[in-house]
Amino acid sequence: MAAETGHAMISRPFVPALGLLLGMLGAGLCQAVPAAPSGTFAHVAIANDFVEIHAGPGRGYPVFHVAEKNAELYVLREKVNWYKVQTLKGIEGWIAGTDLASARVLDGGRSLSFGQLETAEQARRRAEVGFFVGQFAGDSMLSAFVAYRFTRYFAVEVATAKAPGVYSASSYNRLGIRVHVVPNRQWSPYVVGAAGLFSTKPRSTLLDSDPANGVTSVFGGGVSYVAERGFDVRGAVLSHWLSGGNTTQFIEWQVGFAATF
Amino acid sequence: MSKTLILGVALWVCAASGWAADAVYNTSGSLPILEPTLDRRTIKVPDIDTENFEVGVFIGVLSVEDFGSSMLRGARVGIHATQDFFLEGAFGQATVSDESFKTAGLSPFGAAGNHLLDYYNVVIGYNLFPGQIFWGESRAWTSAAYVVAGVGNSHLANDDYFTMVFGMGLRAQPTDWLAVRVEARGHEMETNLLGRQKMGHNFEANFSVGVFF
Repeated sequence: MAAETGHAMISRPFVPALGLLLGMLGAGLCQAVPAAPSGTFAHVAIANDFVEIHAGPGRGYPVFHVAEKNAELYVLREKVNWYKVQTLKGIEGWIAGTDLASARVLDGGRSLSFGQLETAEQARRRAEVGFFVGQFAGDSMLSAFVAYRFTRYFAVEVATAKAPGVYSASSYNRLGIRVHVVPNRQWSPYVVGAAGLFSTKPRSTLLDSDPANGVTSVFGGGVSYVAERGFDVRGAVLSHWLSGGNTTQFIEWQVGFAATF
Repeated sequence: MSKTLILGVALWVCAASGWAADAVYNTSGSLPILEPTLDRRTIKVPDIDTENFEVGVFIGVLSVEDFGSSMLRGARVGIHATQDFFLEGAFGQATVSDESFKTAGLSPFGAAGNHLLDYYNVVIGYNLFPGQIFWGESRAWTSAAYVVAGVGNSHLANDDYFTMVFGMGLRAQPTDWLAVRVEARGHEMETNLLGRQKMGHNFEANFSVGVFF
C-alpha cells in the first residue's frame, strides 16, 4: 500500500518538468561570465543609456559597436583619457573617459563609480614635463623642464635653457621651487624662485674664446592655464641676477606647454 | 501545538525586543552612540596600464641650405597629452659637407671639410585627421595625419643656431603599442656660416618607428 501510495504521489507530467528545470539550470551554469582578461583594471557596468565604442582612442575614430545600459565591460588600459575595454563577447574598442565616469564598478559589492577609481589613480600622477620658447636678454630662447608637484601648492622644478644669439650663445640650468598661489583652478598664477649655473660663449666666427660661467639667481611669476586634462599652457616672466664678477640683471619671458601625468 | 500558543509566543518575542529597545534609550536619557560593527575596508586602487608615452627612431634625409643633402638619423620621445595634442622632443644628426664651395675655391669649414650637424628640438603636435587605413578586405590600422611646430637648436661648426621647426606627417598604428610614421619637416635656422646673418631653410624627410608604453 505504501509503495503504491508513493508511486501515486509522483504524477507523470512532473518528471519531464523536473528534467526541463534541471536542464535549464545546467545551461545557465555553462554560460557563466567569461574570465577577466589579464591586466584588467576594473570590471564595470554601463550606467549611461548607451556608450559608443570607437576603433581608436579619439572622437575622430569610427564607431563600430555600441554597449547598452547595464552592459558589463572589462577596462584594460588608458590612453589620452580614452579607455580600452572588452565586452563579455570579446569585442575590444575604446570608450571616452567621460562615458565611463558614472559606470558602476562590479567588484565585491563596493559602491564605487569608475570616476572615483580614476580620481584616485590621477591623484598619484604629479609629474610634469614641458618646454618654453621666449627671449632671454633679447635673444631667442628655448627651454625645457621637468617638475614634481608634491602638494597642491608646491612643485620642485629643474629647467635647462639655450639662447643661441647673434653674437653669443647663452645657456643655463636651474633648480627651483614653484608656488601655485591659487591651485586647482583653470587659471592658476604661480611664483618661481630658483638658482643655477649660467654660461655664455661668443660666436666662433667673431671671437674664439672659452665660455664665461657664473651663477644665476632667478625670481619671477607666471600663470598656468589648464587647456585640457593633463595639458597646460603656461607663460612667465623671470628676472635673472647673474653673478660672475659683476652682478648683471637680465629679463626672460617665456610661453610654452606642459604635460602632466 | 495550538495556534493560540504560537500566537502568544510570537507576541512575547515582540514585546521583549521592545523592552530591550526601551532599556537602551532609558539608560542615559540622551540619544545612544551607535557602535559600528563593520570594519572600514581600505580600497586599493590598482595601477592602470597607460600608453601615453612614445619612443621612436627615425631615418631619412636632411637637406641643408647651401650645403647639400645627407642621410639623417635620430630618435624622438613623445608624450601624448590629449587625443588632440602631443609634445615631442627629437634629436637628429647628419653630416654636412662644404664640397660644393671647394670647387669654387671657398672653404667655409676650413680644413675640417665635413661637420656633423646635431639638432634637438621640442615641438607641439596636433592630430588633424584621425581615422583608419585599410589594407585589403580584412585589415585596418588606426591612423592620424598631424602637424607639428616648435623650436630647437642646431649645432654646426662649433656654433649653435636657434631653429624653428614646422612640419606634418602621417602616423599609422598596426597595433596599440606600435606606430610607423612618414614625416616632412622644415627647419628655419638663423645662420652666419657664409659671413652674413641670414635665415637658412633646411628640409627633412624621415620614416620612423615608435613604441607606445
